[in-house]
Amino acid sequence: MSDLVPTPVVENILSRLPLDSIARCRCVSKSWNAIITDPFFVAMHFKQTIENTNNLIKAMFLSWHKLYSLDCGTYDHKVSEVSHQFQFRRNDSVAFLGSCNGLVCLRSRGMKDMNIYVWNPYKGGQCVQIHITLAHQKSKHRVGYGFGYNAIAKDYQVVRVLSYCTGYRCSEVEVFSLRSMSWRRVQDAPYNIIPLCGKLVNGALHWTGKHYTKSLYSPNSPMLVLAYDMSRESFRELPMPNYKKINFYLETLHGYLCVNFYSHHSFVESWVMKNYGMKESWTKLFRIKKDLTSPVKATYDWVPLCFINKGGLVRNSDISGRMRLGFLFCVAEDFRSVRVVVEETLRSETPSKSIAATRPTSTFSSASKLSCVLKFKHPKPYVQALVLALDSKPPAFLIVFALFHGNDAEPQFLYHHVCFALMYLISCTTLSKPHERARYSAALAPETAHPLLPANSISCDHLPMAESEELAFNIDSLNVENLALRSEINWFTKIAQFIKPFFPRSNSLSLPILPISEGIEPVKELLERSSDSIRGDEGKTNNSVVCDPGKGIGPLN
Amino acid sequence: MKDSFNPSIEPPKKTVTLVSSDGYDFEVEEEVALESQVIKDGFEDKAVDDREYLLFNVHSDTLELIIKYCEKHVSSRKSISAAAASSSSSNGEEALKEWDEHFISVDTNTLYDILMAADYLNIKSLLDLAIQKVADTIHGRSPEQIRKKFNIENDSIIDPWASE
Repeated sequence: MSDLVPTPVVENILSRLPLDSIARCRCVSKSWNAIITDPFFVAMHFKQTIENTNNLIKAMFLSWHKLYSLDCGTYDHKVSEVSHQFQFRRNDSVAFLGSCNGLVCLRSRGMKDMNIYVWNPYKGGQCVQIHITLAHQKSKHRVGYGFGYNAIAKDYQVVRVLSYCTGYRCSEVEVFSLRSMSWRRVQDAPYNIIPLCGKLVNGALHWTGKHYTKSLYSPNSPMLVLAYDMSRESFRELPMPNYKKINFYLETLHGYLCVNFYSHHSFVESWVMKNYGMKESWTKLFRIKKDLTSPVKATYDWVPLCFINKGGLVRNSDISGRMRLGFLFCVAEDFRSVRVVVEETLRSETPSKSIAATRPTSTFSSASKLSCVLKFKHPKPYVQALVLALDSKPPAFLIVFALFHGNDAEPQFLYHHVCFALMYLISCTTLSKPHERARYSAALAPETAHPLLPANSISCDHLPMAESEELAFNIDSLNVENLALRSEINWFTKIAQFIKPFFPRSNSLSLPILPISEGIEPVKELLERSSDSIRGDEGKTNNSVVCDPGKGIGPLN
Repeated sequence: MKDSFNPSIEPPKKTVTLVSSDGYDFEVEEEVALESQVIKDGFEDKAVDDREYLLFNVHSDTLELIIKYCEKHVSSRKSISAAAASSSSSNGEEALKEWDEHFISVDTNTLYDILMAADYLNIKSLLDLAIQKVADTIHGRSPEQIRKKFNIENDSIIDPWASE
């Protein structure tokens, strides 16, 4: 076949495959290998990924020194570890600096020096290493890095901006060319840059910063969005949305520049610039309120990564009518990192693949569906759960995420995790006002009358026994009003103690005030039963946590 | 014959003849044939009475399928736009997708023939469909399985476990 099928067709076929398949396909034949290792192919695959929202948008995660990739196009959001040959030293701090055309740029920083890697995940880890000795850098400055492609020089470049605290008028901008393998200083920038990674949009790297004349920490001078044009090698200011909030951070969302306003412990609100450089085109996407009891401390950790489309692995690229979009959030808690996927159904009359056609907040409809599973193989045990609420009250989401290592996992431990999830939902309910609670429970009530927590509503793919590091729940439907725990107070208190550290601010967890219905099974038994029944289960809805509040939650304001 | 004088009746549709590699003639409506970019490109230059295309690379079995596909797409496009004009809700696109799905669920050899014909005739939507099908088939298979499935000679020198 490969002899006769024209190369462009083979390229096209291969470009639709996910990374792991492509790696395997290299071994099929010489000609396939030649295609896959061609630099053009990398760019093509990346383009395909971007254009075809549901075809395997790849997100990469870094957890300590391990790299993971995520296929957002797949239903179950599978995370797989990416093999790499980086020789990270034990105490190095490793982080992404950016990505461009499928190339990934990372750094690993030690005490005295730092390595920057530009890495092509396709070519079996082919990478360029840039070594920087920190001692040689000037002191008293902050460095922001970025990675992008200079279209004029046809060169991939690492950019670093050195900002100084006081006594300077401009920041030094340096460019490392992968063609010449050397640093070069370009035009200085009269801005004091916040030293984060530059976000690549439209051929420019974006940072936030202020003029040197203004104090970086004064609330009176507005923070600016600054764009460094990779080709022109110069900075300029971009317009901001009309929104009076001081704190924000930048992200790239599907090739759009995305500004996320946040208030430290209460909410995050995302805006995108639909037409690059046009002030009027800033559009509010959504606002997510943080539940005060959430274990994730600050909202600036919430990073919208991409829209995901519900559906199978393959092509629903041309979605008609009922469009479902989701958001993927990455929440980084500490160095051990919690990653969470949020998925939200969006009712949109206009079929579209891009966010350009999505509407502002008001279209976030009631039929929110949530799914969350990222499974990492991590050497350390940890567990996290998180509730994100959209602006609409009551919280529309329940997100559970649990991970732990085999050795630490006992059956008891499992219950804790499961209960953690359940209790969290309860706590949200009790926090709402009575009439809201009524609405909430109505919203949560499944359309068909389920018995309280049907046996298959919580499923664990793997029980966390010795060989498994993964746990995933599946909560199809929960009738909150029926979730009575009173008969199990002792057990409940135990659990409450266990989870208390996760809820530093909340006392409402000690005992939820819920109407008790007659004849309700203790949750513990229920869980035991469901865990047992799941062992031989048919494996519903691939490892995902699904909470379907059904209909009834009103639109957002 | 009388009908042709009646203005309310559409004029007889223009047809073109497609000749397969094994010599069979297929008479199809013009707009169906124009689904192929290759035919479309050469269409204007051809004389009106010379509407015959020799398709040396397409076997009659495959051509039959291709024509079936094009006819379906032409007709459903019409019905979709008609539904849109009358603003009645229609699930025509979904139905078409289902039809496509069914259409492309063929054995590997047929799929290969369709792929090659779609590439040769440059029918973008069909090529896309076939390519995606092949990609789906490849996905999740081992190199050996892929070779076997698509009859590819193993000339690979890459050891899958070797690192570069």
